[in-house]
Amino acid sequence: MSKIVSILEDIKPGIDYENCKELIDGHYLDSLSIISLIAELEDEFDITIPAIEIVPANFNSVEQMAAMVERLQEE
Amino acid sequence: MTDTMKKALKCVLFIAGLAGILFVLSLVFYPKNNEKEDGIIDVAANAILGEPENTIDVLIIGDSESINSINPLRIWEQQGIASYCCGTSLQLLSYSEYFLHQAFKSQSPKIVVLETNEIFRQVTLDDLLLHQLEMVFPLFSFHSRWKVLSFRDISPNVDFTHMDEEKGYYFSTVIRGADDSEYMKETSEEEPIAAINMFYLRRIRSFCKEKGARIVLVSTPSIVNWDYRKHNSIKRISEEEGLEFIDMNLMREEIPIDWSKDTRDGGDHVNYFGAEKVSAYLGKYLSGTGLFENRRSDPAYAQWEVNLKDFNKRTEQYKSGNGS
Amino acid sequence: MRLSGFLGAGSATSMTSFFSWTFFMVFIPLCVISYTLVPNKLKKYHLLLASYVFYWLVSGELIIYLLLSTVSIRCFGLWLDRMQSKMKSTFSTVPKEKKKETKKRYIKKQRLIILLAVFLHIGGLLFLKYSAFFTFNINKLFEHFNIPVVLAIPRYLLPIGISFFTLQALSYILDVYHGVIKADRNIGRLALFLGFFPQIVEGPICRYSQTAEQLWNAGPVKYENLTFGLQRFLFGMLKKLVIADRLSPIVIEIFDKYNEYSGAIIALGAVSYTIQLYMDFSGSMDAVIGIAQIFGIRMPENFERPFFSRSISEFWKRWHITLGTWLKDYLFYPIVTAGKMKKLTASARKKIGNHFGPLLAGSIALFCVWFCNGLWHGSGWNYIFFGMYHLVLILSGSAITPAVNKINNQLHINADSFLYRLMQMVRTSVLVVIGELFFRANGLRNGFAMFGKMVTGLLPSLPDKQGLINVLIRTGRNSKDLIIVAVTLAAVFAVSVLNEKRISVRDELAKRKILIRWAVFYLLIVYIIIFGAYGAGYKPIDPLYAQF
Repeated sequence: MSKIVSILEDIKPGIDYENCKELIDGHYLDSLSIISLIAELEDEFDITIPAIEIVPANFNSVEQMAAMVERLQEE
Repeated sequence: MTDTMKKALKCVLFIAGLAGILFVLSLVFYPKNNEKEDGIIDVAANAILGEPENTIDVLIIGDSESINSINPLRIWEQQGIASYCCGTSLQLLSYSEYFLHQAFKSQSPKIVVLETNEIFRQVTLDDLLLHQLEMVFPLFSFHSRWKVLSFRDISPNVDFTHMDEEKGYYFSTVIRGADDSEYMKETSEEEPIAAINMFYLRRIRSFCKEKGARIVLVSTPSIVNWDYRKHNSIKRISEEEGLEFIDMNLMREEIPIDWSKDTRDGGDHVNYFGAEKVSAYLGKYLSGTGLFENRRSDPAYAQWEVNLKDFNKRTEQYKSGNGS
Repeated sequence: MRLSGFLGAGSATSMTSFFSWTFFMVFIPLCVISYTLVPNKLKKYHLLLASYVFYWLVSGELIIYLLLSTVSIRCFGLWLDRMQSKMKSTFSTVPKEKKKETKKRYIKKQRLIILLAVFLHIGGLLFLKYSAFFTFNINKLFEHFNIPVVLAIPRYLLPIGISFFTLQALSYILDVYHGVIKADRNIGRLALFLGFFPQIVEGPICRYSQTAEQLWNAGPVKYENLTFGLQRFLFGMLKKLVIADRLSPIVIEIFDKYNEYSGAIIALGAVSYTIQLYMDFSGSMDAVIGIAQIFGIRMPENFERPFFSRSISEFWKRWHITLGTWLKDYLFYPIVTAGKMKKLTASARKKIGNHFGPLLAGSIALFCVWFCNGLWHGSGWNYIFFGMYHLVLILSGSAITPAVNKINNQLHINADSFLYRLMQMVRTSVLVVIGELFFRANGLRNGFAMFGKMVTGLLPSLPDKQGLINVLIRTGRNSKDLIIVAVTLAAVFAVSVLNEKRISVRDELAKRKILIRWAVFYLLIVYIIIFGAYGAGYKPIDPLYAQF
């Protein structure tokens, strides 16, 4: 969790990532930030994120991202 | 069940309320005079409202063909019959019906001349629906009058003061000739007529019947707008519906249009010189029906004489033959 | 009298506008009433029948394309499904070390199927919509190299809404491929998903997961849905008939005769067109979503008050949303997550840093997105330019973000203050208006000419009262038309501000007393009847987005 938050802080500072529940729907993260984020997440957690995982439901909050990472690690 | 009833009742009440509002607003928006400043569209055609009651003998409706070809003042001069042209450019049959109803409110013409070209102009379902609405709530016709609305509009009394000096006729002496080598080539094919148009045609016919007026279908000369296919269709319809039909496009002896000089836009419409010939023929035809007496000495028609004199003064130069 | 004259194939083309009398006074009432009379079990078939009747009335025989698309997506979906279950069954039989290989083989097969599907659907669209554009440009090319060949420019009748339902069809196939949804055996459900009549002319572009089930389970009409749906419809009508259609002749006049006008008037034309397009398109969306709501269907929103956006990138998340997300999900992300692109991103990040690295890979994907976005809107260089214009704006916006943040920090500028946000919104809107100028211009050359004249001539020619008077006189309008447009815009803006604050006007209204509610509705209806641009002196105007 905290790893993800620090990655996000790196990519786009100034957002309260821990409490924001609509990072995508609230237009906080644009698609270019998402690319950086995916690259970082893949590096950090040694996973591959396929295109179909890139949906608001997986990226709207840090918790959702963590859940997705966990799931992909198991696969 | 009671809940559904309540909701249904609410819907009905809502619609009734709306109808009431539209009715009142229609009174406000209905023009109180027929000058251009009163937000009147097609001023010349609507100037029939300014004519004294029950003075018009013949009503002419149609599209731009009618107002370019038929000159009521000439018919007046030659036959003493008072006709009025309520044609407008690109007129639809639905709009013709509007003029028909409007005219019969204050006039009782014995003959209605319907220029046939507009029978082929498709009235869409949208036109029909809007027209039906307009008949119930004139607000839909005159809504654009919000721009000219004044306190006077609150009272429903109307006073139409505007009269057209040429009785709806469109005067033009421009000459742009046309090639008539392909004009009215005979064929047995027919131009189709849309079902909605037939619906309107029948409705116009029964309205006239009810009012005791005779309908005459007239096809005025035009190279661009008329051909044998259209002739065949109207001929068949006139026989089926029992209507009189005069196709002036086939009367090259009686109405000798010279297509190099008598048209103002390459055969689309006749100009003043063509209209002279058309009006002379139509006047004779109307007089030949025996329905009308010559009213030229009738003092009630003094205004017509004034208008005619003015018009003749304006057109004198063309009469003497020194016009272009 | 034959009925076919009234209701023949393609006889009611005016119905492509949801605000045509035929559509909302005849089709919709008949449709809703018969829908309520049909037993619940059959309601879905009623919706399907109504949709096909609608399409038939609007497009006639061209309905064949819609039917073919429906059959096609069913076949492709099932084909993919069979492949996927085959893969699973072979999985259990092969030894562990061979699993990866098997998976690869099957994925490859599925990709071929997808390729074929894309080829068929996009190919059909390209063929019908763009063959004239392509042959025209090939001819130009031949001419340039003095090749004495002139290809005949083909003209095909374009089935209404093909640009929209093709995207829906592809999204279904791709969703099945990705395993987001299961392939559907039920051809009726697929047909309704693709052909539901409110959405087919101008979108919104729905996903199978959003509407297919809802449509197939459509239940009885609820009183609340009926009233809310009608209110939304009326609001759309206000936008379209009072604002968009009243501006239309002014826009046509200025864009057709820009030579005769000053920079200030051209700027006015560009602003007017942007307003017209927004009011026309979002008004039609209100109608679509409102009508769907009558049947209890929730459609995805296509607009989220785009002119409150602080950047172009945000603008495109709030304008024509369903097209944007479609391109993002099926074009952008697949490109950036492709193996090679990921490698590129990784190496670029190491070399040029965390911000610009992804930007490089992203820009390649974005190029594809914006090229397609431009081309989707129509076959013309001005549309492609429009796409590229927004691409450059988005990329440059992203490139300068770190620098802007730094400057703001150093100057202690509060980027969240109202004034700063307002400045950003105005800037975004100005950029959008410039884009729409090229979008609407009659060809790219005229677009540049207009833009040049606007930039150089705007300030010296202000306020150019005479020019404005000329526009109004030539279009038969006067200052009162402008006042009505302004007043109505202010009202729409007020509603937008409320929505931006997450206040639903319809909900608020529903809480009021019946007298107040009815007064508001009466006012709205009468306002539209009086100030709408229809009837004598006005031509009915087709919805702008139906041609795209």
